[in-house]
Amino acid sequence: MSDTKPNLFEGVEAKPGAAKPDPIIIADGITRQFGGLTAVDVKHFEAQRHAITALIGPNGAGKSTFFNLLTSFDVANSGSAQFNAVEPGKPDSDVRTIDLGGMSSANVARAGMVRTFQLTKALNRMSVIENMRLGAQHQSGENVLNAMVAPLWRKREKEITEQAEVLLERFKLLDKQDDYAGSLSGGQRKLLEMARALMSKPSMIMLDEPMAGVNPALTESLLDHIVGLKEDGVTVLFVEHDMHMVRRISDWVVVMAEGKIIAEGDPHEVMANQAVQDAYLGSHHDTNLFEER
Amino acid sequence: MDINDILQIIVSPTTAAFALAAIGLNFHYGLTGLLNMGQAGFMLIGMYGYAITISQGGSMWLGILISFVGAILFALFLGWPTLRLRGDYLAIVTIAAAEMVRLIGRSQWLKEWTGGNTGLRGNQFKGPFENLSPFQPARIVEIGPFSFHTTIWWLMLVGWVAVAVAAALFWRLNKSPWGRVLKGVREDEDAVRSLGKSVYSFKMQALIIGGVLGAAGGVIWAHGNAVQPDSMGRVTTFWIWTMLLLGGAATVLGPILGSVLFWAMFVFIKQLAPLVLPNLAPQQIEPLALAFVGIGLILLIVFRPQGILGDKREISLNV
Repeated sequence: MSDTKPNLFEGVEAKPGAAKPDPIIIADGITRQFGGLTAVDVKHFEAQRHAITALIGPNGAGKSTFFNLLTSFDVANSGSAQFNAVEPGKPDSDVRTIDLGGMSSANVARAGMVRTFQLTKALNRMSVIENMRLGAQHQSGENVLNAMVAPLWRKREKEITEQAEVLLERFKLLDKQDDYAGSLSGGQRKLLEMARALMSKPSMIMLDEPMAGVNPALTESLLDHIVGLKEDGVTVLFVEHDMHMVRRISDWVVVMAEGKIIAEGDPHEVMANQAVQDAYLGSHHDTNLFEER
Repeated sequence: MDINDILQIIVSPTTAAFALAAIGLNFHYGLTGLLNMGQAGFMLIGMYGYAITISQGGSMWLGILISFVGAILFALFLGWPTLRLRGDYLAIVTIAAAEMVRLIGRSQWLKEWTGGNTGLRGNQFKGPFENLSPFQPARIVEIGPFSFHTTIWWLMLVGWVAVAVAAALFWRLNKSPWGRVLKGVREDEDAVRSLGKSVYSFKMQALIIGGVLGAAGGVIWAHGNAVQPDSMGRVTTFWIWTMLLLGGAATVLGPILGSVLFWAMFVFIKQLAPLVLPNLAPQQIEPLALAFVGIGLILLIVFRPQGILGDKREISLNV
């Protein structure tokens, strides 16, 4: 799909742990054991900046655990990871390298790497617009002493609200802004979670199964939104099961099985790879069970 | 049946004191979703800190300061190990810690300061506050149906002003970005964490603020009664919960309405019981009234889980 654009992966070897020209994440020797089970054992992993990278693999391959480790929602038994952050609006050469080891998940998010969850975490008993506002950074009114003096944070609150309305408009949720998030449909909640994550203007967004449970009518627009993120310069790493989606939007695919990265490469080539098919796809991966639209 | 008794309990310092403690609990549960099962412990810390300071020769202001600092330290002590864990752990630890405060207070070990199980008498600590009373000379003053001594009028004035200040504080913080983060924590901690907020710190702040309000309620209560450890047992915490849930959690006026209704109902049942059941012994009346409070709480949860003023879409009991 990126035929008309410069190929970010020019010259990158299609093998597990391949080095990328401009990696936003570099992880080394990450392992995570649960009792005797090694859930994640990733020797080396890099994700290319400004690209959409898909992380695929069978159930129990360790994809979500790997996600949790990168975002500090879980702690690795060993290994290190670094995040090469570039603040929005700054040139790519202006990289700030952040060691993710020992960082709290809140600090990871503040550094510009935000995530969504496999089981959508919309804050159901808060309104849509409040959900959105919560995603913003640099609101001094979140300090309890400042909070008591409204003039200190009103101006920023207005900016946040405007930013939220623009995003809601884009995600077609603007007319729902005063509804409680719990009253939205499952797909709308996914959209809200994604929009909320964007409130902090992240340089990287990690989507854990963004399509799960979303009805087919919404998946189209969800895909467009993910591609739209990339066009805005956000790097996307996502876990997904639906191979058609992966093939349509991703620039690069990383395949995990039994905690290890077993293959990497261009989406079409990777899916033709025999090892990948054996591990995951089976021989019928290419037959669409439903008619093409 | 004396309607005046009901009117008097409604405005009494006791009602104000419990309204304060319930507003404190509203910061914990209504705003943040923290299950603090030891609000009576915060009240006890507050009243001990205040009364001991004064009985040992400190000033009233030092007493207030110590009572608040005591509540802050108690909150840090409770929250430090538990706020990183799931909500239930805070509930377990707070219920036990509040009992510990009570048992230490009533033990003979610290009798010199705490007065042991008899507690501290009013004349050991009420002096400095009562001397500040602008209502002089000291006598019984009757206004409408209310007939109180001037020291009680003075205490009621201060108590209800404190309640108004606490309610205003809740209103302001509830509608601030700070309150928004807390509500997010109430809904889903991990989501808030993923948005770059340090959840632990926010929960601790809420625990401290609510605890200090509990301590303030304790000080007011001690002035209306005396420092008596056994008056602040587990049951007291459940009263405060009843008040909060009755009025409506996460609302500004809910805890105040809850406290007023709770005490009005309590006195009403205590008055009604001997009329309906003439054979009831006097010492059976209070337990009976409490049994009705329990029934009331059950009915509330079944028929109106969000409380009288609460918004069902925002909060209702689902624990």
